Amino acid sequence: MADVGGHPAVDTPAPSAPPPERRRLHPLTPVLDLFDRNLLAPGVIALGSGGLRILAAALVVIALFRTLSWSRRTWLLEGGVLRVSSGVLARNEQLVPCDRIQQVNLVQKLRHRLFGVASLRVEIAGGGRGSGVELDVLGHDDATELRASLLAAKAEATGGPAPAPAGEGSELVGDGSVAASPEGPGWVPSAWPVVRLSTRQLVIAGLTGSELLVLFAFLVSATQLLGDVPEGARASAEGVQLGITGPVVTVLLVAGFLVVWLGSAVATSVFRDAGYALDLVGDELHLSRGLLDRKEAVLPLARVQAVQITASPLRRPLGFVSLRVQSASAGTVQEDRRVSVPILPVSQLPAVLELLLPGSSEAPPLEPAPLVARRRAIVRATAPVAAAAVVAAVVVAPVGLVSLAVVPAAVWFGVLTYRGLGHAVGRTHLASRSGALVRRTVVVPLVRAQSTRVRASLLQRRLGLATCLVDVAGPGRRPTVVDVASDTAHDVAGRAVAAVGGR
Amino acid sequence: MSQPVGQQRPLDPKQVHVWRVGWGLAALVLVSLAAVGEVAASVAGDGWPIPTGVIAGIVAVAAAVIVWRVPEMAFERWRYELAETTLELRRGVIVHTHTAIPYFRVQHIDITRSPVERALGLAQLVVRTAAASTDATIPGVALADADELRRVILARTGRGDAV
Repeated sequence: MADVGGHPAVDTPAPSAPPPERRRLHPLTPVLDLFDRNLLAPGVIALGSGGLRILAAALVVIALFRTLSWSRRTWLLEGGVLRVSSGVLARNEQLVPCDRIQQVNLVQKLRHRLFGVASLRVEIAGGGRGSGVELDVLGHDDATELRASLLAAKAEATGGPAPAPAGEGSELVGDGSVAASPEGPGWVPSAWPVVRLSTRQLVIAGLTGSELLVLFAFLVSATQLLGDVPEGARASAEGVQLGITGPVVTVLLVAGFLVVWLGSAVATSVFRDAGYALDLVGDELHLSRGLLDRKEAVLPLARVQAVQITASPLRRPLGFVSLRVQSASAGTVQEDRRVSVPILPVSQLPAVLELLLPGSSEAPPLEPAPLVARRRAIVRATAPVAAAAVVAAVVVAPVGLVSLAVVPAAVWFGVLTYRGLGHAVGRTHLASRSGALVRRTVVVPLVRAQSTRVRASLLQRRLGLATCLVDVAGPGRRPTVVDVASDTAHDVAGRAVAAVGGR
Repeated sequence: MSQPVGQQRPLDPKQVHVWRVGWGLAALVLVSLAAVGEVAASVAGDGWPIPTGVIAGIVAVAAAVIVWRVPEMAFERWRYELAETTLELRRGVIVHTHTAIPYFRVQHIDITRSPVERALGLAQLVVRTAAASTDATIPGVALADADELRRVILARTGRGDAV
C-alpha cells in the first residue's frame, strides 16, 4: 500500500490521487541490456581481433548508448491507457488501451532474479509481431503492481468482474476457498488450481516430447562452429577419435550418448517447466513456471479463442496429451509466451477443458468420418508414393523393385489418417481432430468463429464429401472438419455462423 | 446497390478479361520456358528425338485453351450474396468453396485495384476479420458499386466485434 505520509490531514479537500507521472524503467536496465545475446558474437570477434581494449571500448560506447536510451524510455498508466515513450533521436510513443489487452507476461530470467527485477510484456490483439509493448526491466514489485493495475483497468474498461490482485500464485492456491473477507482490502477471489505438474511428469514430458530434438539442434549448430576451427586442431581431434576402437568402447560410447541425449531432453523440460502451476484466479488464467528463468503469464479467460490438444504417438500409449491455449495475440507465436500445458494425463483432460472452455463438456464424443473418406485417405496417401515407386522400379530394375515395398506402408498411413479424423458439434462448441501419427484436436466455442468455409474438390464431390474450415482469430491451428458428408460440412458451418449471428 | 438484399449476384463480366490477362502472362512464361528448354535440348543432346517446336507448341495450345476457357468457367461459378446475417461467397471451378462471414465479424474492408482493373473500371473488395486466415475477396466489382457495397456491408456490422 502507498505510504500516506506522517503529516496530519490539512483542512483542504483531499486530492483524490497525485497526478500520475511518467516513470522510467529500472536503473539497472542498461547494465542488464549488456547481456543481450546479439552482443555475444561481436564481443567474441572484438576479443579475437583486438584484444581486451577494443572490447572494453565497445562496451563503454554501448553502455553509454543504452543509458541514454534508458533515460528517454518512460511509461505512464493513465485513464485506462498505457503510454510508453522511447527513442533517442526519433521519438516514439506506443499507446495500449487497456480494454485491448489479451495477455500480460512477466518474465524473470536468472539474471533478473539476482537483481530483483522483471520484464513485463503486454500482448494486444492482432497486428504483427510488434504489437504490444515490453517493459524490460522493472523492479519486481513495480512489475507486479503495474500488472495488477493493467488488469484492473482492463476489467473496468470491458465491464468484466474485478480481477485478482496478481500476487504470487502460490499464496492463492488452496481448495478454492476465499482467502480473505470480501469486504477487506486484501480480498482475493477464489483460486482454482487447474493443472499442477510433478517432476516425474516433467521427466516423462522431456522423454516423450520435442525436447528429444534439443541435443541434435545443439549438435547442428556446434558442427557449424566446428567449421571455423583451424584444420590442424580438427585433424588431431579426428585422430583421437579414430584411435579408440573395440566393442567395449563402442558400447560405452553408445551408452554415453544415450545418457547425454535423454539427460538433455529431461533437463530442458525440467528447467523450463519446474514448479508448473496453472490456476484460475477469478476470471483469469495464471500460469507460472521455470526453474532458473521464471515465467508468469496472465490470460483473461474471456480471451481464450480455442484449445488445441496434441497426442503424439509416444505419449498416446502412456495416456498423456499436451495442451495449448490459443488467444488472439500475435505475440504468442513464440513458445515462451504461450499459455500451454506441456503434459497432461488424459484422465484430467475433461475437467481441465471444462475450466478453460466452460460448457465444452456438453459436446458429444467425436464422430468418425464416413467410410468413403477412408478410400480417399488411402488413395491420397498411396497414389504419389505408388507412382514414384513404379517409376523407380522400371528405371532401375531389378533393384528398384524394392521400392514397391513402401506401397503397403503408404496404405497403412492412409488408414491411420482416416482413423485420425473426427469431429463433434455440440450446442456451444466444435471439436475437430486430424493427424495420422500426431493427432491434434482443436476445441473452439462456436461464438469464436470469425468466418467459415466449406470446400469440396472435384474428387471429394464425386464421393459426396466436403471439408469445413472455421477461421478463428489469432495464430494457431483452426478447427478443420476434413472429409465429412457434404451436408454435415454445411451444417457445421451453418451452426458456427448462426452462433455468431445470434449475438 | 440496385439489387435487393439476399440475391445471389454475379461478378462484372469484364472480370473475365482481368483473369485472362493474369493467366495469359503466366502462360507466356511457361511457353517460353518450354521453348528455351527445347532449343537447349536439341542443341546439346545429339539423340534428342522430338523435332524442335513440338513440345512448346503443345504447351502453347493447352495454355491457350486454359487461358480462354477457365476464366469463363470461374466467372460462371462466382456468386456473392448479402444474406441476412452473413456475407456469402460461392466460387471455384475444380475446388468449390463456399465462404460465410458474419457481418458482425467484419473489421474493415479494403478496396484494391490493379492496373488491369483500373483500365477496365473494376475493383476488388477485400473483407477482413480478426482471423488472418479469413479468405474473403470479391473481385470484379464495378468501381461505382464498390464503395456502395463496402458501405452496405459496414452498415450491417452493428457495434462491431471485440476479439
